[in-house]
Amino acid sequence: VTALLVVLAIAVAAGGVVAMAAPNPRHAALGASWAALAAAFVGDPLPDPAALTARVAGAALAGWLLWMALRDAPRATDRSALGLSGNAAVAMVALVAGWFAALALASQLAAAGPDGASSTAAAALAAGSPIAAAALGTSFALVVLAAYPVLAPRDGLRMGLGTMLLMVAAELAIAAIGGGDDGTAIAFGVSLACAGAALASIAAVLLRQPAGLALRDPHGHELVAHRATNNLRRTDLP
Amino acid sequence: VTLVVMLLIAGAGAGATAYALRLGGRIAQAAAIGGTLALLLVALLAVAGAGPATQVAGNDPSVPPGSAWGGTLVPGSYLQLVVCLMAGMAVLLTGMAWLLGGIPELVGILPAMLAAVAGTTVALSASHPIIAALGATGTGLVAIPIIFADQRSGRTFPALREFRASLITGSVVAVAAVVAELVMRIVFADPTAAGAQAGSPPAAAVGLGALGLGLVVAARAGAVPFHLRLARLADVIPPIGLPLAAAWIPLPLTVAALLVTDSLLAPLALPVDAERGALVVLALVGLGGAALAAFIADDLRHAIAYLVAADSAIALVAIAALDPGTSGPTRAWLVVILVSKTGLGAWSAAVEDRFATRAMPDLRGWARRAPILGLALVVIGLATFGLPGWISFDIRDSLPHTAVVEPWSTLLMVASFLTLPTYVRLVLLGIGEPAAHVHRAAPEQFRHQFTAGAQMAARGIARLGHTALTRSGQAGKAVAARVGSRGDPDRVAAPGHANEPGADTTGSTSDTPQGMGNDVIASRAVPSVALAEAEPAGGPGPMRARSVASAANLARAAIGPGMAGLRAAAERGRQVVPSAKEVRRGRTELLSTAVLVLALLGAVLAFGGLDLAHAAGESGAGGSSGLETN
Repeated sequence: VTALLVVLAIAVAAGGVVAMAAPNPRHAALGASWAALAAAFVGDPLPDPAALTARVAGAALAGWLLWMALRDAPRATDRSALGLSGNAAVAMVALVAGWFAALALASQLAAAGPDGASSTAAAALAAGSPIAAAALGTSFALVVLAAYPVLAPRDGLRMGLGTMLLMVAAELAIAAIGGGDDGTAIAFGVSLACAGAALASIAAVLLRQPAGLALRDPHGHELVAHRATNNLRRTDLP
Repeated sequence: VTLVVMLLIAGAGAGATAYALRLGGRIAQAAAIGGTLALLLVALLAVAGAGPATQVAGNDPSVPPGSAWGGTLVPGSYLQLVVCLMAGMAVLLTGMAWLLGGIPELVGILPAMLAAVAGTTVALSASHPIIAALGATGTGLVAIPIIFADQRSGRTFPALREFRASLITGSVVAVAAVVAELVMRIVFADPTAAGAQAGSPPAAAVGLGALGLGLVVAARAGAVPFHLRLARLADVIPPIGLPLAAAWIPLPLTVAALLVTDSLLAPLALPVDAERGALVVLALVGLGGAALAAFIADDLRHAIAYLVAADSAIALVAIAALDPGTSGPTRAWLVVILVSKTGLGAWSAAVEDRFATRAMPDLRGWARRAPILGLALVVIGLATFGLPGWISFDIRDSLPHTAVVEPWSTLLMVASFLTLPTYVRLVLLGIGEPAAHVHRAAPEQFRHQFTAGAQMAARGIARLGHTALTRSGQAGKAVAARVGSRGDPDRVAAPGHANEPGADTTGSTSDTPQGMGNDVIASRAVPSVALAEAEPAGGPGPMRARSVASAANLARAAIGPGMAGLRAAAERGRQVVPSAKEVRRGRTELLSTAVLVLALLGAVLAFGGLDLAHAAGESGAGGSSGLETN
């Protein structure tokens, strides 16, 4: 089971790579949804089955909403500058770095003495659990993958998916350190569903615009100029 | 249970209104009414049932009383106060939005306010900082339906910025909470080790955590240097959405960040002076920068947004303090901001609607045409700055001195008053010679409207009372007549008897619908007469039948006029209560009055009313961490 969960953690990172690098917007949404869904199972210990179900349902709902919102999306959008292999390489390096960081943290906890390592919050990490290390590594990978599309966005969908991946990364970091519980899992499920609904509505509006999902041209200029509302909307005043 | 019901009403109400309001027609009208009732119900529940002492949880002693889901959500006085204020103000803002643009104006704002109430309830009642942070994340997302209420182009980037800000700020607070807990484990396990030294890994982690929390609070509030998002947002949302976007959304995240700071970072007491210094500088930049931006802004919405951002930056001082003692005043300050800045945003929406412009130079002389709005702005300014002894003034004065040493504390205190010139500018602008836009606007006719409204209400009440009294008298007379004629139902049933002295059941007043009382009595009496005539005379059976018939007649005689009276009263009410169009004809004055009510509410809170200090200082739900602090 441990090896399976470690592989699952790596698969979460792979989902992040697809989300950021796949040219097809629906594939990208599928990658992000997979990452959000599978991340629910990367934890030691896992939450209660009911909480886990709520968390999975939230991620699945987010994925379904995104899939439906993107049904009229173009087949291909601008490729990521790094491409699929470049993103994968970056993710791999970040994952390994995160793994080593987890090991370093575990040794720090062990050095702190039995009180530091025996708490529930840090027990798995201090015990050198590979699941906790893989979760922290995957969290690092998702942060690195999503950083550029989120901070300097050219594509509205990638920006949104990257933001969702950052949220998943936060959840994985919390799972790695062991700070989460059943209530946290449910809260993440609800938050992911809300985020998916919000991003789906944004994507639907984006697709109705002439520029499509793109926000900026290759030179960094906004394709849809910012425009303030009219002063008033006098619709049916007497 | 009450907490869960509140969440269900607010959450389901948000979803249902978001869907139904877009359908238009009668469904949208029903959704608007239903959403408003849901807000009222949430406010009532918050007042009546969400207190910690009002309910008893199960038998588990570890679960706090009144909590939901095994102690995950715990009610408290602060939650009660904030949710009640939010829901109450939401009702006022709903009414204002309807006056401003009818049902279409409610499409984004009403579901967003319901969702904000639900998210804030979660964030403020969460016993775990991670759940509080995620509740704040959900609250942040409510800006998106407001933005997309109007789906013209140019709105996606602001919506994406809101999406990014909401998810990232919430995630950072959640991760900071769990990292802080980890550091706490390490430090408390070996306090003599490197943890106590500046620059050690635990100290660096705590310092970075505090700095990160300060940055996300500043970013969420739109403080300088994160002000661009707020300005762009103010441009694309309807004016009445500004209070929600600028004042409501940052509150739960700030409370969650304070929860982490006070319960996890502050107890460690690690030397993190450099990071605290950086936070103080950030607070100074936020206070001074936003105040300057508000002062030089020529766009009213931008100026209001910056004013809100400047006051929100005071919360950074509490994070910089890393002192649990600053938590209570800061939470009180957040409530004062919530209410006074809601009033300010509503004032801005009313002014913009009134004079058909948001350009400050075009608003010269606004107060001459809108004295009620002028009074409201003065009261809002009073609520914002307060007077010595008021909560808002004392916090501006004492919080910096509690948090940091001289000369920074004095600098912060002075910086917190830097928004005052902008309020003075707005007032001076208002009393100047009216500009063309202002000159074209019709002056407020509050006195005329008030007199007419009062007359209408008095007349309506008088007529309703008269009708009710008349009908009650008729009912009483009818009963007396029944009692007097017991055993002789034909006496009552005979047409001529109904008009005899002592048995008068007619509507004799000119206000009564013609013949209603008499007809009702007669029609109710006839079947019993027929029943009595159909029975054979003599014997116990016929006697029982006559008794039953007599009792039925009595009941009908009593109920009939009452029902008729109710119908007549309803008809009078329909005639007296103004129609929607009539109400909106006086919308100028109604909008100004609603703003004044919000401003007065802010002043009451700034004074320390509604037991604000006690509620903000409680160490219960939403104010204490569910994490162990050793």
